[in-house]
Amino acid sequence: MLTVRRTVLAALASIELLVLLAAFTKPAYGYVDPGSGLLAFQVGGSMLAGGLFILRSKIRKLFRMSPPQQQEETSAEKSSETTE
Amino acid sequence: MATIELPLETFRDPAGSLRIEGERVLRRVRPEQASAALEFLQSDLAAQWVESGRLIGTEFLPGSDGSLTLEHPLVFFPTYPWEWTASAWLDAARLTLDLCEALLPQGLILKDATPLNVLFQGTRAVFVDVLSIDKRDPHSPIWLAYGQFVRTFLLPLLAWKYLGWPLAASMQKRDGYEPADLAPYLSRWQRWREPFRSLVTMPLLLEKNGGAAAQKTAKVRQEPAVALATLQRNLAGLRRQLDRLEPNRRATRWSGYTETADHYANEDQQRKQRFVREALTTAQPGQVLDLGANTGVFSRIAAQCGANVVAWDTDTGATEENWREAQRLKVPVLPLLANPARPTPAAGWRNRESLALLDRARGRFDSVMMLGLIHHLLLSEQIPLAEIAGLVAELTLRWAIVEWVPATDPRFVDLMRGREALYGHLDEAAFAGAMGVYFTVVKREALPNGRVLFLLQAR
Repeated sequence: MLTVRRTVLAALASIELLVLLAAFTKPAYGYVDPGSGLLAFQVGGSMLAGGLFILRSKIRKLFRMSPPQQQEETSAEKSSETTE
Repeated sequence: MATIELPLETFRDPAGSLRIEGERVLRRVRPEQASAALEFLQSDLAAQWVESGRLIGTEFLPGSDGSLTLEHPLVFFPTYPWEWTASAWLDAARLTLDLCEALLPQGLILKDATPLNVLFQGTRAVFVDVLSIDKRDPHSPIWLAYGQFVRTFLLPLLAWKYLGWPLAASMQKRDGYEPADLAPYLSRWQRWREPFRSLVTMPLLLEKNGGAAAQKTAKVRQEPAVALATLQRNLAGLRRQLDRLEPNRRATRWSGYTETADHYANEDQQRKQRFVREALTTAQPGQVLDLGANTGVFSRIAAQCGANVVAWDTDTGATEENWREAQRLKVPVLPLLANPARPTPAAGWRNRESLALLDRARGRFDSVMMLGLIHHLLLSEQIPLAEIAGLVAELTLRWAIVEWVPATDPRFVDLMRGREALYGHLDEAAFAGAMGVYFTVVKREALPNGRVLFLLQAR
């Protein structure tokens, strides 16, 4: 009984060791282009910022129904109508 | 006999190259690769930047064979980032971002962003590499020089502020640090805090996992208005990171020296200042080199007497203080971290890309000031008196204002550290003998504390 338990424990320990070794294996980073991380960070940030910019202008459009320029024009037209 | 090698004509930018001929700074241009920069240099915006002193002036000299040369005014004392204080680094970085931001609405951008594109007139940063200006793709929100800006400006400043790595190490790192250079030195907690998260940890993770994908997505395209807004936002982000890297005022060995100099009674200090003022009035130097300038009390006196001053010291805190004072008072003083006993060597490709410190200084200064430095050179650096006199003679065209520190002076005794047999015999006569080879004494004043001030004139 004791030897079976020992064998199971040893097997489990070696599996754990293998899993750990696999988890900590690192590829050869020496050949990664060192500038690529900063570029990737900028690309991610830029796509996010671009998305937010579009989303914001869409929300603006939705609430005002028209871009600010057209609003000014319509209010200017209205005021000219009243002075007439 | 060995000859001094001249610096190479610059060669890294395919759009053009720069060479110095005597007092003239000439830039050969390949017009087909520099059309955007050339167009910009003739615009009103460029004129405004030149007017404000933030962009170097440019004159067009077309050749008869269709070639084009640009001529720029000579910046009096060219410097390299490895000689700058942290404040100078920040000013150069802000200038780079300011220029890039101003270029964006014109459909232009900076194609590179490194401190080597900037020089200083006094403490005012001047953008000199005009061929860095290039056309931008209106649909691209990516600034290709972003990575270089982070590597060459932000990471060295980050490493200086938080890890204490000297900015002078930039001499060994032409293209700055990589995020991977800093990562092992950050604690787990630091790694996820700003500015480390955006400048080190995230780029490093992406480098390992998404670098190849980023190369492809770098071709990301947006509507011109969106791309412009994104670029502006990215620059604003870099500016915020830069603001976080403003150096803390650290007390260094010499930064509080002027206030704590107990060997200088008030009266001695006043007499010394009066002597220096009178000496400068006699000599009327246009250009002064202040060796061992400390916080720049005497550099500013020279500037007030009408001189353009370059001030060298080895202490970061004192030089930073000198920088801030010169900037605050708007006086023409350029404080540099430089050591006359161990001057910056020539560096770069074939040792001929950047000039050695003494090669830049020789023949430029009407007067050298060396106050309260001679005992450090003699005792700490172990330079013989004759050599010190030789250096002063080499650096000045005519005048020298020098303070002799006698062997009985408490600071001389401190530095002697029991080596009386070797240095205790040095006296004013030995000093006068060494200097007498090159100079005659015009003025001499002994202070009550035993130190002696000299105004010397080259023979």
